Amino acid sequence: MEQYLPIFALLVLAVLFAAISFIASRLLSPSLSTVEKSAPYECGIIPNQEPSERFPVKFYLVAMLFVIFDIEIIFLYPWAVEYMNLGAAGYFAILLFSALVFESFIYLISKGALDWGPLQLNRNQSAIAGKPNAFSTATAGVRIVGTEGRFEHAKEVA
Amino acid sequence: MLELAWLIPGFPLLGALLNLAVGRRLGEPSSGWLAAAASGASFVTTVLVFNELRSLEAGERFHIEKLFDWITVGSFDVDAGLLIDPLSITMALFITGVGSLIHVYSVGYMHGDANFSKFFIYLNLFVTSMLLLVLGDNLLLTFLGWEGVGACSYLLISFWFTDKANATAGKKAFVTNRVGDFGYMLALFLVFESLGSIKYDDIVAGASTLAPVTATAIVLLFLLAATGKSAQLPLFVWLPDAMAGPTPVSALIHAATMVTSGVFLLTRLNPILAEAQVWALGTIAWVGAITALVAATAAVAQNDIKKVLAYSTVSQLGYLFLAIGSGGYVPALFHMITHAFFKALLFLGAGSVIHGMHHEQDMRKMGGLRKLMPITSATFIVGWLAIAGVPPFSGFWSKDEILLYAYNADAVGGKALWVIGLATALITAFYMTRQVLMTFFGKPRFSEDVHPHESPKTMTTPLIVLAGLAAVAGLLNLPFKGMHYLQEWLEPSLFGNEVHLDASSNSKILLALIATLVAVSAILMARKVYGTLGTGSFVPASGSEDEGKPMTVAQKIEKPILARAWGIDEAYSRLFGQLGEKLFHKFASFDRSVIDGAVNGVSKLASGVGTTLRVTQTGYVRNYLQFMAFGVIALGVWLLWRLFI
Amino acid sequence: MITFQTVANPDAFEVPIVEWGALSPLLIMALAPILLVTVSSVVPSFKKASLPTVYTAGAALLSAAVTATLWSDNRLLMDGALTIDRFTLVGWLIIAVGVAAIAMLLDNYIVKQGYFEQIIEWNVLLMISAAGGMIVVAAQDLIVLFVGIEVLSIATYVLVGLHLRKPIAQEAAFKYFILGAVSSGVFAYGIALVYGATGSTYLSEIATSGRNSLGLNPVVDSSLMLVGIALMLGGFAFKVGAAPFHSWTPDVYQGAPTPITAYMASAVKVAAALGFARVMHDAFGEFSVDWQPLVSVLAVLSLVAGSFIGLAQKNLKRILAYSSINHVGFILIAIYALDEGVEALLFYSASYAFTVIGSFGILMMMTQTEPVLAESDDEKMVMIGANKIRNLESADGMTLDDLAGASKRHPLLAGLFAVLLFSQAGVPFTVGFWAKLQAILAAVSVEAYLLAGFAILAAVVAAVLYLRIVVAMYLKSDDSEPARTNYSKLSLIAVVACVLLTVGLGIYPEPLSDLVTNAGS
Repeated sequence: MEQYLPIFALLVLAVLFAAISFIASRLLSPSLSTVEKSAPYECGIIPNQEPSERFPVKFYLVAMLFVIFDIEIIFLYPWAVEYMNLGAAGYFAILLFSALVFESFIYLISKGALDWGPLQLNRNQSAIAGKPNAFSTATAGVRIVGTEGRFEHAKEVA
Repeated sequence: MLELAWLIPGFPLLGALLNLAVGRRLGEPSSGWLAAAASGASFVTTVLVFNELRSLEAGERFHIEKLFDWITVGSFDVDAGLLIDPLSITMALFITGVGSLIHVYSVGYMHGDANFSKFFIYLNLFVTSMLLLVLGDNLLLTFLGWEGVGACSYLLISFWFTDKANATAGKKAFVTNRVGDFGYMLALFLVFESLGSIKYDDIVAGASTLAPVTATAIVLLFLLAATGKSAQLPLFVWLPDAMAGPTPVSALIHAATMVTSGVFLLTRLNPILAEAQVWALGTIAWVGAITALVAATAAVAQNDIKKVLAYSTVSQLGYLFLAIGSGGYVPALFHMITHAFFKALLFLGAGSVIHGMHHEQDMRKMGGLRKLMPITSATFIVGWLAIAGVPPFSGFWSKDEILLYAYNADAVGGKALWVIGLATALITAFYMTRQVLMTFFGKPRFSEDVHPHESPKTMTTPLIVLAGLAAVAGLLNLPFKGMHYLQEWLEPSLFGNEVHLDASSNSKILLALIATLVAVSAILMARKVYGTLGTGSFVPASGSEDEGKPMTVAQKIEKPILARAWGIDEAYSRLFGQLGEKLFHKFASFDRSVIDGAVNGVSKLASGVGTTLRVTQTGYVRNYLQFMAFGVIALGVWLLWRLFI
Repeated sequence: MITFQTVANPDAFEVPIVEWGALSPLLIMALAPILLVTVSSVVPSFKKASLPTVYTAGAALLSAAVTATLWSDNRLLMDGALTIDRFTLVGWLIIAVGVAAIAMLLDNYIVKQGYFEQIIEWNVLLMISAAGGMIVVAAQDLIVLFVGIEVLSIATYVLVGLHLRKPIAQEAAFKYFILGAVSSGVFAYGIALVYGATGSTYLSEIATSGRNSLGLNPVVDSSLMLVGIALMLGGFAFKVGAAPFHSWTPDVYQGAPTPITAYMASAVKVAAALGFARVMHDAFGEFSVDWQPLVSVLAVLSLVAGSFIGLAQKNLKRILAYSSINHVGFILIAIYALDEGVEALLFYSASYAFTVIGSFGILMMMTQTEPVLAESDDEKMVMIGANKIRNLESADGMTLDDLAGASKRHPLLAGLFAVLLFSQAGVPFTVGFWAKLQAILAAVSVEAYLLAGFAILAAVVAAVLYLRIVVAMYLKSDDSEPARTNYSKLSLIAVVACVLLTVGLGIYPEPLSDLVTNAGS
């Protein structure tokens, strides 16, 4: 069990840190609450409607992509610590691992996962133009609905 | 050379495949020549293998050439291999030899047929199957060939399938043979059950361990199979109908090769026959003798030139069974070979006549063809003398040998068999003379717009070759000291199971004299009846103007009962058509109400169970997870419970 | 062979020898998709036409060919983590050849569905999943096995749901994912308990610390061991789709794109079954008296569930899904028979794999195709639009009724389908007959007569399952207009190859029997 002691200690420390932070801020901070202070920050302008609670799915995608690279760091860190002992074999292994992770980055870019806003719209438009099909897109994988019968649109797209 | 034996069936197979691929493009006559060349190459290979085999010591002439592992399931282990021994090579020699001649003949005969190349595909396939049948080293491979020749025979009989009668004849042959195949399969299972192997070498080695009852059962089942393929009573009815096929087919399949496979099979299994009870052999002999007699009498009354030969074939095959039942494997094979020559010759000659007469097969509309078709008639006459048993033609020697064995086969009723054999010989000579006289002699009875002509060289050449062979094939096994070539040659395949006669030469000569006398007197009798043949001496069709007139001698002989082959065929159709039909309806209703009821009940039950269980398939993941959880818990509980017991 | 030289540091970690040669089939299968995804990302034109398909099929066949060169190898690799023996190699061969056939079917599916977007992803995931399957087959260590199973499964979850336009596929993927994740959890728990009991994850070491030589506290340790076996058994049973862990199979098989269904029913199932057999045999051989009854119960339940519930189905893919559950019953019988059943297991797996690929392939090819888009005619486009929606919905929902008159509409496909169905039913002169015979003989040779009898009865009931399809094709007529189907040459080649193998090995089963002999050692 001895080997798990540091982990246990870390756990305790983490819990303590969080708890102490909360308690300290509650105890130490002056409590001067105003309406402006409790409102969400929006560039200093007073909001005239409730902020939207749904975020575009894009954010989650980026968050997930971040996790991938986060994991890469998690693997790199112990390697860096044991670098000397692992020697050349460890070096090549981690190089291969990094290459594979980087490879996924290339794929993401080519898929347009990091494109944002008008850029992505453009992409989809050009993809449609490339494929004479009014009812599906080439890359997005989502069928455009509601265009049936709208010849003008179909022609335009084609 | 023995290791190249696979080329023997390989060449015809290659020919069939080539013709399948490019036959239509090659067209006539190249595709026919291709097939003939394939068959010829196979013949040459067989001759080479034959030479190689001859150079071996007699004891080593039993060679198995394993090709590949075929089926291995549990203890059932079958290789595909070829068994090269004197028996199989003898069979292969005349199959490929006669087969090649018939291929050549067919090139002429099938001239102008729309499906020219197809015919040769079938013909080559047939030769392949037949060679597999005789060369296979186990019962299963032989069965493959057995079924193969059956299928090819079906295809060839109904080759001109647009005519319904031909298609029906093909079906009849097929169905009748299935009855025999049933016997084959049962016998095969029985052999495997009792010997643990279906390879011929294991059978040879293990046959002596068989109980006599088992051996008898096996022999009788194989006899059933053989009566199907070799057209014996009670299953011979398909062969006369099979004449619907093109004549070369009749010559190849229904005279020289396929119909001998039953005899071959019984010869191949001689170690089992040796173990069987005596009455099993007696059954074989009696089936053969009675078939020979019945078919010969039927042949007397036929007017179709090919039907005569068909019944004659059945009758001659009966001789072969008679020989085997009397323990005379060598005479059986001897007669099989000579018969292959002269019957192929007769069939091809008949084909030549039919060809020359523009597809007229009724002998009542022939006559006097001798002058118009000199080669055909000359060769046909050689065949006639051979089958009639006139010395020194081949048929005399081989038939005489069989009669000698029958005479001495006292254990199974020798003298009676001999008498029947002799009577058959008499009738044979009679109806063959009748045929020759009706076809080639006398006044022409065909209408004037028919102009018979001699056939082309491709057809007459095989006739001449076969006539030569039919004349001299007796040399193979002359009954003189030191001239039993065939007997010595076949010795290694028979394992001493053939009966050795020690008949004195006096009795031999006496029997031969009687046989000759019988043949000659039969020919003279026939000449008396049919020598001056007018048009009115036939059995009149009912309702025709001749009906009331007193019967001539010929008419008295050709009673309708003979013309209808003792009504056996009709009896079958009555049995299966009327009485049988009622029975089958009974069976069918039983089948519907009871068996189908049970089956339907089971299926209802099954789908009922299915529908009930289907409820578990809710489509909700939560339910599926419940199943899994219960499953894992059940597994765990069971294993833990195991711990405490 | 390349080996890394370690530095002269005494603490330096010992680098295991990497047997590149023996690993190459696996490496090809694992690296080919990486290369494909990189190249197609950089060069977009690579997505055109059938290029990815040819690439995938080529890579898979290369992997199969390299596998064949290793034929007589028999050793441990990677410090004992993997093993190369006849068992592994047969498994690799089945998976690699299966992937090649599936890629050819997938190409056609993509064309039929007008769905080019994901062609790269489909192929890449297929190969990655297959690489996972190859690890499962070769694994000699429970952790490696688990990694293999996860690579195999996760890629398959995505493959199932990759057809983004089909809600039913999404549903199937989600179900499969949730249930699969739970089963993986169960399996991993089992590994942990077994490790707790024996102190090792190597199959051979688990085997040596067997029943009578467990640690200090035999009762606790062996109970740990037994519960661990139970949990792993549950995990494996889920992966191969044995009843009562089969409930996901019909739903997922129906929803998944048909070629992916073929993949799941063939390569995934075979990989899981072979891994199952290896673990049960190599690690828990000494506990066989304990788990054999459970495997036989699973086998019987699978036979019953597969054949009986299958009879109540109308949808063809569901029918075939239940048929695959029935087949699992036979595979479990072979696993039950331990040493006696190894050859039967491999024979059954191999023959089953290509029969089932062919069956699903034909089902896909028979499915009504979409009309070709007419670019200029506006009016047609509207009609096509309506048609298209209908087709997409019915595309994977072919029922028995839809098959009526199929023998007239597609005589060739119907004939091929009938042959494959006969083989699945175990009719003589098809490979399915020999496969079933061997499984039953294996049961008989370990004197499990009851099991063998059950197998025969279930085979009879299941035969009805297949005959219903044949009857629908041949005996029911349909007056409707012959529907258009266009199928590519590639898919036809794949299917015909399956049929030829089925019939060829049915008449002459020796090559396959040869292949699997001596695999038991």
